[in-house]
Amino acid sequence: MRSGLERKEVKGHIRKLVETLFRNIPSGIGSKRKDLRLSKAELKKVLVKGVGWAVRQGFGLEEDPEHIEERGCIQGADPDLISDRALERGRPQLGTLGSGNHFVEVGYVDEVYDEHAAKALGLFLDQVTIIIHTGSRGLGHQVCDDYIKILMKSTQKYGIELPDRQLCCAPIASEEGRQYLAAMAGAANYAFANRQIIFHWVRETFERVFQMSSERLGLRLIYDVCHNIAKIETHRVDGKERKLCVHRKGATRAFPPHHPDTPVAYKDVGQPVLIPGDMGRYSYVLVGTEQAMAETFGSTCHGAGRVMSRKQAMRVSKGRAIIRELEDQGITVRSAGKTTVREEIPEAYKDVSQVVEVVSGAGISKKVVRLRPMGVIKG
Amino acid sequence: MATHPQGSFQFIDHTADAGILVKAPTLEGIFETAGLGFSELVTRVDSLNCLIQRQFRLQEDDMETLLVSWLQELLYLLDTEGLIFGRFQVNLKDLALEATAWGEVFDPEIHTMKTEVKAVTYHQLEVVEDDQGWKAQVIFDI
Repeated sequence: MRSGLERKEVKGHIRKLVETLFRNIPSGIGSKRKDLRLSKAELKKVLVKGVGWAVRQGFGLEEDPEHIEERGCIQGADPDLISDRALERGRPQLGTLGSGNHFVEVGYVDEVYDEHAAKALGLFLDQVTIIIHTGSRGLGHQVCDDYIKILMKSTQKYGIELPDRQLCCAPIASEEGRQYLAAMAGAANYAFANRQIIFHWVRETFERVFQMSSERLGLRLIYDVCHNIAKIETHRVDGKERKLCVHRKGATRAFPPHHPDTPVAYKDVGQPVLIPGDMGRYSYVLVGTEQAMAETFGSTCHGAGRVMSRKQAMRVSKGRAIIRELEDQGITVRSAGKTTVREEIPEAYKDVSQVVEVVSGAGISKKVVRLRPMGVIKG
Repeated sequence: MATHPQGSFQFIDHTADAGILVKAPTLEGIFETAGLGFSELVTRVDSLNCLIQRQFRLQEDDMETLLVSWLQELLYLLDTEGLIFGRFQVNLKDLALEATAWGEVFDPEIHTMKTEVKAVTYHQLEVVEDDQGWKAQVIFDI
């Protein structure tokens, strides 16, 4: 998300902003907003319609879906293929951040690499930005658990041998394969709606703190992109157009300029890509390239990745006041969990700039701007 | 390492996830201690009161899947009803489990909030017997 605000206008309000975000956006174990209660029937609508449902309920603007992968709704979702158990886990969690590496971060543009692309994305030096990282919550995990059980049987049925029990598969065109994809689309649509709702609460929070409408604050969605998802797409293989199932795990979509699925506003520069780093260093905004289309089925990496296990991070951070350390660097952090901040210390992650150098060096995405964090809420 | 009458568990290092290694003299002890390990990932077990009691009945085709299903059951109750348990009693008859768990509703005002568990996985899953008793390993997606 971008704002029309500059860093200097936000700096003095960052504590209040982070506190208010923390209050408005439920995070951590068992958190929920009392004003968002869904019936099972309503939840099924979310699974079919994704962001469309959220916008109709008043979460966000009519224009928002334009700037979301698949316009915030993957077609073909079938809620009847999603178990009651998944629905029960999903019902109280819509509009919640979760914990672990999920976050909302307020930052600013501290370096511009590509003026033309930055302008197309509405980004400029010192501008305040917001990143939201969350997904399909317990519902998505339950869909995964349910279908692992089904697909494990299919793996045997179709005589496929795999090296780990966590792995299982079925042919895409089989009954099990089709059902899984229709259930996964429902989980993806839940994730789109979840981010849209949180996005709306971010807008409300800024309005409250700055006593100004979100329109005047210039709070606009730049782009919402998935990671960890399988999608049916058309790609050129050996000179021929082919329909493929592209599974992006630890990866995100990076479509080039003029691709039909790249939003009109970004036609000349390519689809925006977000690569978040750790909470102490930076995150990057990039755009997709033709080379990604040719070499990686229009994909790039989705984050820095950990170098330390959570246990190691806890050892390294023992006795340290991490929140204070970050505060000294000008970053205000608020976390629901007692141990989250220590498990998520910046050095537990790879330096995202090195990761970004690799993907931009390989030509599978192009750097547009670098963001530095000012305030972070975590679960 | 935490030791309980039924067995002991320890958290194991895993780059992106979290795991527990459980040891117990009996298979029942493995299930009870794994339950405690799960609760300890989420909060401090010693802060939990046994106010609510729940019964469980599960059956699977093999012991590993039964252990995963058992922990998934605990995760489901945490996600939907906010229940977290501090005491377990498990009976096994071949691959059928009957259990009772005692605990309470998780309250962030009272209980330490450690980690939200997203899923129980089959990754590197193991339930084995050696000359010292039973040993199990489970990796959680967090």
